[in-house]
Amino acid sequence: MPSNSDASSRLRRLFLAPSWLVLVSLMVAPLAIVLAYSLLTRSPYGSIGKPWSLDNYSRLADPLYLAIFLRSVWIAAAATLLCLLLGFPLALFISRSGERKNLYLTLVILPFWTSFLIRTYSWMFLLRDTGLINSILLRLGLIHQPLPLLYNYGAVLLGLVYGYLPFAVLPLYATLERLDPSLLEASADLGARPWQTLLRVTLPLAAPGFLAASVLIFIPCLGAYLTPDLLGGGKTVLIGNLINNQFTTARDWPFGSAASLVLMAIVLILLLLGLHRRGEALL
Amino acid sequence: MPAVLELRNVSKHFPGHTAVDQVSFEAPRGELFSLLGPSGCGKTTTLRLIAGFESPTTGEIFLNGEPVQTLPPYRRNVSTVFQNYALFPHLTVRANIEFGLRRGKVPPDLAARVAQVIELVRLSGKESRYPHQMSGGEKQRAALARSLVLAPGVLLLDEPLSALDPNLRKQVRAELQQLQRRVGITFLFVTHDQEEALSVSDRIAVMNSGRIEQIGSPRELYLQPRTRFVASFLGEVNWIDGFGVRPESIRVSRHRPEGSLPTREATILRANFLGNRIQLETRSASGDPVIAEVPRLDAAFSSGDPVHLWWRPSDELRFAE
Repeated sequence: MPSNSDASSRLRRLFLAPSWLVLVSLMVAPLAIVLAYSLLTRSPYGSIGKPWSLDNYSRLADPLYLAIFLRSVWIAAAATLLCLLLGFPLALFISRSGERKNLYLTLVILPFWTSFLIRTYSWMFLLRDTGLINSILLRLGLIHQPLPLLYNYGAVLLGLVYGYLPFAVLPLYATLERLDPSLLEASADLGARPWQTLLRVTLPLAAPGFLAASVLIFIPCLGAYLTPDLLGGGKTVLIGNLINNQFTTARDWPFGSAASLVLMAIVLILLLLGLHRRGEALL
Repeated sequence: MPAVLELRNVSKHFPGHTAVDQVSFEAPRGELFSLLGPSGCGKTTTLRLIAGFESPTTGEIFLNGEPVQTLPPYRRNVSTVFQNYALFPHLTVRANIEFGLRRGKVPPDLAARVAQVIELVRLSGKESRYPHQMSGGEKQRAALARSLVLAPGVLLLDEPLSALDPNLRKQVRAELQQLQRRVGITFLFVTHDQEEALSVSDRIAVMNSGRIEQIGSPRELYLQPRTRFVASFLGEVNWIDGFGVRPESIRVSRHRPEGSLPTREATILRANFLGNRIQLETRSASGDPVIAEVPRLDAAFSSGDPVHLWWRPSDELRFAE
């Protein structure tokens, strides 16, 4: 019935129109502007204009900026790994908690009810020289000088792991929850000790959860700006801070645009690699 | 020789109900022993108690004379073929079969044992397939191989045929029986299908509401059931004046038979053609429905015909209750 399918395709287009409008106006168009900026040149006074060039991209090859990119990848990878290491036992525990599952899941999500900014500031109150941890340790006489807990890579890593831990727990929980309990019984039945079952059955079958969690954590950590800015104290420059500086203090929008697009490209490549691996696993 | 498997007064209570109630039985080496009963009768829980997935509230379980009820599943020399087979989806058939052999020290004859068992269950050439690439029958054989390669004292099979296509079921059933004869391992077969249990088992325990009603050979259970439940679970029964008569034991004729055989007058209600035989639905003069199954050649009856129903006194199933 051609008339019917015409009508349904027209209806489809009508329903899709708002999404298209949002996507084009809020994503495609801004990206095109960023791309255009990245190919333009900044005048000495900060205004942007011709000539077109790839200079902004070649500047990123400078060892200084390469080091920033590498450091960001390294910190994001470390944060992802720590989140997975901490999140897996918790997810396993929750998936085996019977009736209390929902309570525990709510507790995992609870921090989201408060702004991430406020929660990051709270860490500063805990970690700074006159903060809770240092003052307790000083009062107990365990230390005589405040420990340098804030404004270093350790603090940035702590903040990232704290912020993104729920993104490890939730996807891992989802895969563990779906795990057929008879597979665990079969493993024990075939003589595997509980830890052997964990290594040979539970972990491999939770692979999709690990992959989803890695993507959900690694990508935002790579571009993280708030946490390194507040907990790293600006000394520890990561890509996010670099880009922010270009658009604010340095007033070099073309270079900031180029850095943003390169960051996006890195994320996309890693994502495609991850999806490819997952496709193989599903075959 | 002690029984390979023995249960002594085993009970399992769950909050609010008793799944297994004072169950006792023994299975000698090489026997195909079935637990038969309707769903919820406790047969699967009994199997899980033997495997170690549940622990009994009271009672003892012996494997080769050793009490095992406190041991975890991985320390018991039994292996389970699960209803859904529970093959590891991330492993090939070969890796699934090797799973139980690859813990700690790998036995030097691993390859030979695996090859032998793959041959036994006719999965040669399919070793590198993943479970999702296999048919139901192949999955079942892979699950069997995975258990048999460990040479367990007892193989526990939880409704192993129920996930199969009905056409395949009879064939696989016969294969299972042959396999059991060949390997000589004690099989504990859990099923709700009486025909299945009757055709494959050496002995059957009929379970009802957590209890064993009767243990015996298929023949004993069918011909000399000790309770009404056993009689009616293992086939059709007509209840006439307090005793039972199986439909195939009832003869039908137009004239009163000679001699002093038990006889009832009845009227034919319906004649159902079953292919190899005819099922006659009748109503006796006292108003009880009676079903008789007669050879097709005797079947010149139509509804409304007055007939005589008769049988041999030895075919009457009588119960103490």
